[in-house]
Amino acid sequence: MSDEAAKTVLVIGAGSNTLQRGGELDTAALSVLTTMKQCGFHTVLIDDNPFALAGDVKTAVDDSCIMPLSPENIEDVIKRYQPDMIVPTLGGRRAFRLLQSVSETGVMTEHSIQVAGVPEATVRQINNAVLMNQTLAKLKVPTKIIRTINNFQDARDMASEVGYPVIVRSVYPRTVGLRKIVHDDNELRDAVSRGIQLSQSGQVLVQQSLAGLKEIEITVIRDASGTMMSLGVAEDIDPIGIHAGDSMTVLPAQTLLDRQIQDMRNTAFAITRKLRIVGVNHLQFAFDGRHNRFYVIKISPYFDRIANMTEQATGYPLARVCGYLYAGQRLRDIHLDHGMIKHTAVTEPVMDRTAVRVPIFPFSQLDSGDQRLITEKKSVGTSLGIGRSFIEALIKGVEDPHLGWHGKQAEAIHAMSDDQLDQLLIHPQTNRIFSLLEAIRRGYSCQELAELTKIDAYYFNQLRRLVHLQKDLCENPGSVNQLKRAKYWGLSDKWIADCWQSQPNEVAQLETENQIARTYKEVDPSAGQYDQHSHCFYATFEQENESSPADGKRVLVIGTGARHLGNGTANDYCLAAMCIELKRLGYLPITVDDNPSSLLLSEQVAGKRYIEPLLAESLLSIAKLEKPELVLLPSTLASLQDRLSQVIAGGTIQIIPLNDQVEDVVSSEPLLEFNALYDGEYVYQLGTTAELQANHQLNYRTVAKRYPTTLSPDDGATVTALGEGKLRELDKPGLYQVLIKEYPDNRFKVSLCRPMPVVDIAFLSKALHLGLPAVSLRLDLGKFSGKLLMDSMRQTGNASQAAFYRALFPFKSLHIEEPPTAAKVMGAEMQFVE
Amino acid sequence: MSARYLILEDGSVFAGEGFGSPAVTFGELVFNTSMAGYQEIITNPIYHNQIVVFTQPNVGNYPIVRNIYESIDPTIKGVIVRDLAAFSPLNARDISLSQYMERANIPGVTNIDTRALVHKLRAAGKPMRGSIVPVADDHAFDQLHATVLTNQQVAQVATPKPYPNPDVGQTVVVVDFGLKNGILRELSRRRLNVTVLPYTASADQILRLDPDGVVLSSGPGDPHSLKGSVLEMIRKVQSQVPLMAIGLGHELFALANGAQVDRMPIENHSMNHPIKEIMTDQIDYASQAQGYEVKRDSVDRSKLFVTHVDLLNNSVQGLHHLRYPAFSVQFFPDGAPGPDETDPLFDQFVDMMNQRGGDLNER
Repeated sequence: MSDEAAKTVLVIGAGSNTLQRGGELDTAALSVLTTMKQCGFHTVLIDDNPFALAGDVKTAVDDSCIMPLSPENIEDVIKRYQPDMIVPTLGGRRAFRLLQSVSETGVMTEHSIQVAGVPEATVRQINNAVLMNQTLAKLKVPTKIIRTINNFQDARDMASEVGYPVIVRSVYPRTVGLRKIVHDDNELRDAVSRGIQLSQSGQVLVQQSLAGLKEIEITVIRDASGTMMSLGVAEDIDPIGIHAGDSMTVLPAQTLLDRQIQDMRNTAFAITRKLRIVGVNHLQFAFDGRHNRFYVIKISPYFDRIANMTEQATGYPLARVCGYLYAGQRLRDIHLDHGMIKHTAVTEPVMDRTAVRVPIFPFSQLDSGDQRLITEKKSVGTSLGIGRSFIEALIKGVEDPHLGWHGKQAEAIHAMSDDQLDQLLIHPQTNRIFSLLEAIRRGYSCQELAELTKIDAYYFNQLRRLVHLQKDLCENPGSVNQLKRAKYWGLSDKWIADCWQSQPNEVAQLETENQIARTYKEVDPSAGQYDQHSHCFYATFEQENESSPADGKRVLVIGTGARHLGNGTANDYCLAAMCIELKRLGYLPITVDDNPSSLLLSEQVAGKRYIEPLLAESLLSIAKLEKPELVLLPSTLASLQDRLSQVIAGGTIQIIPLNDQVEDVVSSEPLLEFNALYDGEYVYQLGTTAELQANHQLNYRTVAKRYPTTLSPDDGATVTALGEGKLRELDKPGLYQVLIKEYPDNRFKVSLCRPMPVVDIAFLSKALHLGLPAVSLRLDLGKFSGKLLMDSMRQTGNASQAAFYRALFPFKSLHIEEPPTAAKVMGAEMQFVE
Repeated sequence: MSARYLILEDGSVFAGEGFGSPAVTFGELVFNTSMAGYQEIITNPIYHNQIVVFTQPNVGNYPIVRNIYESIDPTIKGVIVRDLAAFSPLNARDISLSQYMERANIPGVTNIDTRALVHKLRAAGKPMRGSIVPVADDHAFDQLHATVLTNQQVAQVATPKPYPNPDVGQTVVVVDFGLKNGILRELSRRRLNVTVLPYTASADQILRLDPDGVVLSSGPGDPHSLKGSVLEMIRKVQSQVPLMAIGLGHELFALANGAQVDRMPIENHSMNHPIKEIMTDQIDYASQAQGYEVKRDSVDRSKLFVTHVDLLNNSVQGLHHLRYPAFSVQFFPDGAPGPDETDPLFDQFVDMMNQRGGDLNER
């Protein structure tokens, strides 16, 4: 790169979090951008997500453009930064649509900009189902059969060809069209005649239904020289008809024969080759085991939840490798280093572990909502369990703080009548695992359940083992052998204690007495064939332990689990930004989380990582092994403080205020937020934000705001005096927010003082161009310098700009109406206005 | 299930639970990193005298499938896994992996820390023998140390008598060194008229059948343990008809043409290694199961050239004869289990026979 001008790359960001995507794209972007920057690229990112970290990391992004993701803005950024390359694969499907709009203006050709990862022709095919189907037809790839038909006889011929059920829809409906799933000739006759009546052209579309088939997801990577690998074949436990993101997903696939895997792999490769993809491609298949055939149902040549799960479960650094591919390298040329052997990038990852991805639903946080599992996605978060058996991985995955085996959901199902349970098995609802397990407990046969649920009998056989384990435990209270066995299969102390009608700490005591302890295995992409290291570990109860305390000044950073409502991914943003600051200060952050999308599990954020449930016993075991000098503990887990301090002997525990159940402040008067840092002596103002009035409700809530306020100097002084006065009453240093109401006649009154909510830490960090998590960490470590803070604020201040923040909620996607409150925030968008 | 032990010649003991047959067996330990296809692996005759450790933790997830056997009488000495799946038959005909192994007299041990075991095998840096036993006492270790594993492995797995697999295409002779069904399946798909001959067949016996081409099959064990007459057969056959050799056949083809073949310190059983085809610079993936490798610097350039290499361990994965239409690959282009990407090598073999056929007609 020395003798030619550095190339510039523009990455289209993911934008605000939605139901479809959480933090996984930010995590991938951080890796891709860091890698491309290391390869000599000048990196530019456009994004409007205040909770995204990548744009704030100087070793990843040179120029971060915070603005709404519109074709016009992208065009402006192109004109300003003159990129040589655009990466559309880190912004979900929306980035593909944006790219096409931008491309249609001719600006790409004018500036001869290359698209990384996919040719422009492929972008058009991804955006247009008709074009894609033409391509797939040319490749003779099996897809779902859809025909336009104008009489019953043809419809019946088709139905007998593809088998019932079929879906009948009217073509060009007059007003309201027909869409009906039909199961026999009689239903078909009615549907066809009604559909034809309702159609302007007198036609219906008859479509093969794939509902009930097995869903298989394959992740492929390809380089410019044509080398292709399969990175993982995952299997969704629930059948088609339930959104894949709402199903539990297992990696590797458990119920497929090698021959079946190879057939789908061949098809995945043929499509990836035809679309000339460089980088990642995620393909979804519907697999019909009875007839041993499959259909391609979706092609996603961009980063998504499965790419992310595959990276975490296999240890293959997919995002980093894609960074090298976009920079022009071939798979065989990539040197991963960091403990990996030569050529790992061009070696298909193999697993000596099983990973189960568990969807986490928001309904416990909502007042309403239809919990039936359908083709629309409803889950907001994901947790990942990794174990040495399917059972162990499943148990760990469900133990996320927002679900758990012993929560309300499990209890409710336990109390159901058989009829209710039957209904639930046939018409599945969220957290389906509990009803499946309950059915096994009540003696349903595996075969019966497989027929009722269209879930492979394999999974019921495994669940039955779990039920037997539990039964054996209950019959043998206090048995050390049963305890060993239960821990070996992944049961928590709480689970065992419930069986024994004892307490988890008594179970833990028995484990200590009998040397039953966790051992750690490294997530290595060669399944032990080579001596190489990903520095990512998970626990099991086996002989060999592979994790020893890392060298250096260890800081254990504990995550907050699956994404859920209340802070979107702002929690993650704050903790990850602290990790990066820790590294800068010479510490070695060691992270724990069960959320595969979490930034904390990125190799760019932490040198050593544990994918483990956030259970007390798991965390204590890691702390005991690592003996960190400092633990950053989220306030949601503050109850662990005493027990943690016992095992780390001498280390410090710092509680990080990450409260996700932020008080919902509703005010009919204008509401101001005075933000400041208090170091125990002085109050450093970080500016005042003003809440925006909600148009339809004519009130103010802390979910839409502007920074800075437009107060007159006098009012500003009044607010500052009020805020500062309130903060001086505190005894603990930290980041704080004082809520102040403005009454008529310019009377201001303090309504609340609280630790600054994480969503505001994230927003203000971007608004102020000042990493507040890092500042707060330095304060906690006693390394805070007021002078440094003032200096950096002086440098970054831009008085002519105002920053706007607007929180987003899942209500529309879930078809519910609820007031937008702080505790239900899913994501947010921000922008600067001159 | 009852307690069973895997003991190793270095004195280590792995305790687990037994499944399959209760037999006591001895064998060399190898680990296989394939994530699917356990039935095909267990029935592959190359695993004669070997105990296979699966790194994929869940095995036995589905019933035995009738059309994916790689041999009828498997000769593997044992199966070591982390988690034998719980199983209940959906149909009366379904049999579990454990039931199958019981019938086939193969013992298995589950609940083993297979990752620790793989680390041990890797660290040993040389083949290690072990035994599956009900009691891990001194007597068991004495027996393990006293046991001599036969080197007549090919003789034990190869067919003693010729048999045909008729079809309408060109005539091919397969020389059986421990043939796996995948090879026959690929030949059948190309409608080739196959006769399988025992590995003891002489060149004359082979050529008397007037084949359009000859395939040297894969098989178990050390290529040096076979008699020199096999190498003579290869030298003669390769000069007369197109030849394709796989696995052990590849090692013998190399030996017959003056190359050196050595024991690998750690066997490679996988399907994820990048294999580069030198001519096209293309990288493919294929099923591999090898304990011996052709020494690259021993390849006589006046006779052979190297066509494929494994990028991870630099081993020679393919050879082609300089003068004759004869080639060999170390990996398994028939997959079963494994990727299909190198399957066109069988087409290449058919093309060779077609070209040769043209010559014969002109003659």
